[in-house]
Amino acid sequence: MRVIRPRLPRIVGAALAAAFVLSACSSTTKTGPNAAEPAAGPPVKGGSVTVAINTEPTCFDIHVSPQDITASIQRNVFDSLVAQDDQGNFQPWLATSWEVTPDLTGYTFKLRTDVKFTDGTPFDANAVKVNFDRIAAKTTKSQYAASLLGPYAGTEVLDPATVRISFTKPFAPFLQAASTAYLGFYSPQTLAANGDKLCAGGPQLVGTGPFRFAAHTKGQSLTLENNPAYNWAPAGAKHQGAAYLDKLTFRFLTEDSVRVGAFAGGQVDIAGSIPPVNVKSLEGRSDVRILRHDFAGAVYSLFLNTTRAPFDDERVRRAVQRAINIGPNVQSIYFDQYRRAWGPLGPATPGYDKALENTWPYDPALAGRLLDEAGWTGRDGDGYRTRDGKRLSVQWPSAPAAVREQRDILAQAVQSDLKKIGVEVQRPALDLGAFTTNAYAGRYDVLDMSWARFEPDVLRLYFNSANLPSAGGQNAAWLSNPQIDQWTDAAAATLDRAARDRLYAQTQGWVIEHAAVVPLYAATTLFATGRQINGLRLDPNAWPLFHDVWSTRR
Amino acid sequence: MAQATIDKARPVRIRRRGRVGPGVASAFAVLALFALIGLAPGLFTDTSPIETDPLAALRGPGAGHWFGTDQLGRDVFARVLHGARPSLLLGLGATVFALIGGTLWGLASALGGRVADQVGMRLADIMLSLPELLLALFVVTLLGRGTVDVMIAVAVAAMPGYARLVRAEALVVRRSGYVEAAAGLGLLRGVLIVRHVLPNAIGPLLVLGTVGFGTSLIYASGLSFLGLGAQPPSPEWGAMLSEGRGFLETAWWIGVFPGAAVTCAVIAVNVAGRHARARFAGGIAR
Repeated sequence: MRVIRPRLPRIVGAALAAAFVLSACSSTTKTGPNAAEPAAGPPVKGGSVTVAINTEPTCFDIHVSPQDITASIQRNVFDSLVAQDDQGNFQPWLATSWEVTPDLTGYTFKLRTDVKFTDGTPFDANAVKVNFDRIAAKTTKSQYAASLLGPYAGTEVLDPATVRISFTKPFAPFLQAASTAYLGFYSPQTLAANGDKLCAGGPQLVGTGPFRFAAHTKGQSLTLENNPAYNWAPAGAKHQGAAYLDKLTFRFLTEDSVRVGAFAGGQVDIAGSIPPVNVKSLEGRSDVRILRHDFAGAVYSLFLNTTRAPFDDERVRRAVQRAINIGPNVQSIYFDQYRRAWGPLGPATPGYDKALENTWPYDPALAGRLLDEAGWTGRDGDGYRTRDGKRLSVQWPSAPAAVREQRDILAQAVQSDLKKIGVEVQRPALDLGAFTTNAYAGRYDVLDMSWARFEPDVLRLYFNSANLPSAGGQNAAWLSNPQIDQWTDAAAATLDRAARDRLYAQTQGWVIEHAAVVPLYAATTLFATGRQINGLRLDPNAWPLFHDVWSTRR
Repeated sequence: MAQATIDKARPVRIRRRGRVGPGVASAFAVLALFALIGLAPGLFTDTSPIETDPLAALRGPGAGHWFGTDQLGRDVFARVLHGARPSLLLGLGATVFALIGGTLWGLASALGGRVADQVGMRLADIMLSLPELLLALFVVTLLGRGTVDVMIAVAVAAMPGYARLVRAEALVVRRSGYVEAAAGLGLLRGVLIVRHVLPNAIGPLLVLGTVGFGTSLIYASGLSFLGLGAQPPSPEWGAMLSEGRGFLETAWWIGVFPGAAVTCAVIAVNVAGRHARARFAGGIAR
């Protein structure tokens, strides 16, 4: 998900993934010292709120776009079958109850009968079928939602309020997928009339959510308006009935300093993607609250191509893993706001293996010994190691157009640290097209990416040999390990939480021990809100929910 | 001896021209200093411009680090000094490319016949109708990113201006008595151009080039600021500015010092360039 542009194959999605700080994050909604929810009296109805965000969606169609920002905005326009809470449990939403067949190939949902789209069409079993069939259809060219449907076989309308979704293989991650905005529901009427005009955004995007899509001015802003009929908020919501706000405006302010400045100057009520460097000064103000959300999904990591020299030698991979001084660099570049990562999953992801923490600290001396063992004992004029007269040099392609979160700066730190143990890191700068081609063809030694999702199944996406880049997958380390395949497949085929945790812990341990991956940091979603804003929450994907928000500024 | 003769002939003007004000003097001093830094940054600092030290990150300017350190703990002073060569070379290289290209273009237009003149000058018109920076951006998009590519891009953008000037000068010189005399003596066309037309047409060009050097510096830094020029981790002023722009509130020194370096260099070049123009143009009012 979270590609910068539509139409990029998925590995770029991954590479550029977890877009913006806005990415899916989760669980512990840690708040700053002055970020506690104040008792601001009873909620007030009416008024409008303006939110500054750092990215303008390139496509507004939730079934097509893989962008995090699209889902983040549209979460307020579209509802899902189920809702997921911060602990990873599922709660009723548009579905009141559900049953799963023992082999995990069939999910039967009982639907609410009182739900209406904003164009008056009732929400029913047929609407579910029409939407899911549309996502799965090749002609939709879904870049993300279709993959969330996994081995989708079809949807059966049992009666107007009962629907069964079938899969060709056991598919445990479905409930989580169904809880995201990507699997939200359009009015069947608008799909029939405007199916091809949804990417552009506008009032034709008809959903059942607390807000409806009113207008979009390209390059500037989009406006959502209250849906007065809304009365089907999920169990986690703080109130039932229509949202408090009359109007919600998102302004696209891509330049960090402009966005932060607009917020600090009071031109917007809420700003997303606050750069870590600005957090402290904003937090020091009494009229500002910082809303934080830990990262869930696959953290920003370096994937070492295990099929190409020199990283086909595990000793060289481990040397690189131990020679990067990750902790202090992450701390200083991200001003203590992002966390140093110890495993491929973010700490808020269900199944995160805490046991990995502090197990592979910075140890350049060990790294040096490993390289000696691997035969890289010579030194050339520039101080780089050599073996048989060949320099120890690795290729780490970059796509400058897609850089965010100061990753280019962090890369310079990595380059510098690895130079200290005699490893040369070359960073050819490529445009997105060439970058993608290279990535799929495996023409790299190092590839960096993150993938935001509140679900440990990303490990299958990342390390299962069925997902090699040559097959269009995201297994950027090019691992083909039967053990890993078995663990990740088995975990995707069971709903037993303990069994899944164990299998995922084994996978996380293996990829760290064998240095297929060097996790760097887990981003923190950072929103700044003015004191006048109450009730803003982030869901497990770190998408802001505006249904409960009210403003005390008249 | 010759000097003395001229002095006698036009004493007042020469004395005035020979006097160099403090502004011009300091401009030349700054340029000399920058040139020295560019040639041998090691004379001024032995700190590595690319070695990181996260524990010393974001220190303010002080005794240990004169210009402070950046977010990776690199010494900003060392980076500014080591950034001089790539930054100045970018501007200088672009100007030299532009001068050579512009001269050939202008001569071809002036001496190549009516068709060549029409094609050359209309092309120049088209290119001049576009903002220089936009043109450079376009070229760099075609070429790809990198130091040499940015150099060429800035040069191409500056070329039509020089071409026009060279053409105008060449047209004047071509009709001058001594060239017509030389042609009448049966001198070969190529020899005529190299020996008579070029040397006499090139003076104003060199002056324009000096001023153009300042502009090229700014454009080259601008493109590097956009990440199209020098690639990290090698220090370059424009790229450093870009890295520092998010820190103006918290760590101003990361962006301010490389910015000041570009500013000083450009002002010095411009002052020196104007001085050269005044000297060269002499009484010609411009």
